[in-house]
Amino acid sequence: MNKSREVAADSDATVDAEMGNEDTDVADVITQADVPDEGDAEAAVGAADGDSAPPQVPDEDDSGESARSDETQTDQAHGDESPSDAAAAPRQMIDPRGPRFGAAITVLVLAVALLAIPSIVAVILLVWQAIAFGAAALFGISAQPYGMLYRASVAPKLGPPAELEDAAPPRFAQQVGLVFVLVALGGLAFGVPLVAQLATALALAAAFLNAAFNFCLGCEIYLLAQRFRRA
Amino acid sequence: MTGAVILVAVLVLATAFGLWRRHTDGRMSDVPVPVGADEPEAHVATPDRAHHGGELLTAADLGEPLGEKATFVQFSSAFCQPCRSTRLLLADITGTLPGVAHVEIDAEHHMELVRRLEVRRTPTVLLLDADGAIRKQATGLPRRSEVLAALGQVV
Repeated sequence: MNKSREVAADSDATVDAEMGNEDTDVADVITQADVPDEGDAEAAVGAADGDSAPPQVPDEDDSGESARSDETQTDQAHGDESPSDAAAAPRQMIDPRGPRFGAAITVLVLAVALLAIPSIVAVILLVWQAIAFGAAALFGISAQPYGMLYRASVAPKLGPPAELEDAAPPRFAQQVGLVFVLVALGGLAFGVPLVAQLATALALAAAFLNAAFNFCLGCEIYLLAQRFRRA
Repeated sequence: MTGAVILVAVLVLATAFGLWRRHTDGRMSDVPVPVGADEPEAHVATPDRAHHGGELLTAADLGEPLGEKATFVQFSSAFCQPCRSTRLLLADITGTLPGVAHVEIDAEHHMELVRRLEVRRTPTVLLLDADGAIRKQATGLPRRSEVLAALGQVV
């Protein structure tokens, strides 16, 4: 567990530790969905905000920041929010079957939406899916409505999971999904149904891979994006 | 109509991709050692990795000492579901074997090493021999049997 912490022996590591501590001070009841443990100035601002004025949603300092500046959500998903050493911070652990269950529902919603484009049914379904993705993206994976449905109605029948998983990867996937659904809605708004269809199809592909193969497409793209971003 | 075509195409392509990934993930594949090295059993061609074959990684590269006999180098990132399972698996295996180390590297903070070794996904696991030469490689959660077999060949 300590190995990656030791390896991260650059100046970020100190900042990471400090920020991690601050976060647990602010919200020690809730284990973090993602402690922003990188030294980016923007994330530091977010944490500082959280400290000076206890946030309404205590477990998400950085997403609180992104909620205020709405269009930075994309940037957050792809770069600024890079809690890097996965082992260092206290993390929210979740039942891994929850996100897969949610992905299966997402597949159904997006498949119907794809068939319904450009009708009003597609708009309603895409808006609903954007709300579902957005809830997880902004407030953490526990706010995801499909996850709530899973915990309320499915999990009690299944018994405890064999193992838990970190909440950060599925939440990141929800953020990526949100971007695609918003692009699809933009395509509909501007009268370009093909854009809406293709964006919906990409989100559908990612959700399908998650549901059927437990494969997190957004998570894989993340490292590639990092490679290009800092090339 | 277009929507139906796209829907079918997406499901077919995603299924093919998923099956292919399931087939290849977690395999410990050989990394060829250049001719002239004294490890003849490792000469298995994997052309895409050929230029890294037998490349030496040092404690300075990794930031941690190498194992006396072998070292697992795991590249991880924050948004990586299988990384945790990989960490637990490798920790479990190396914990019982003296001289075999497990080094986990945060890919985001070591982009130079990531580019040099052409790590594209996390988790990527490299198996180094006693000299620090890269001998085996796996992407995705490694299969325990493959890890043990690879270790047996390298140690």
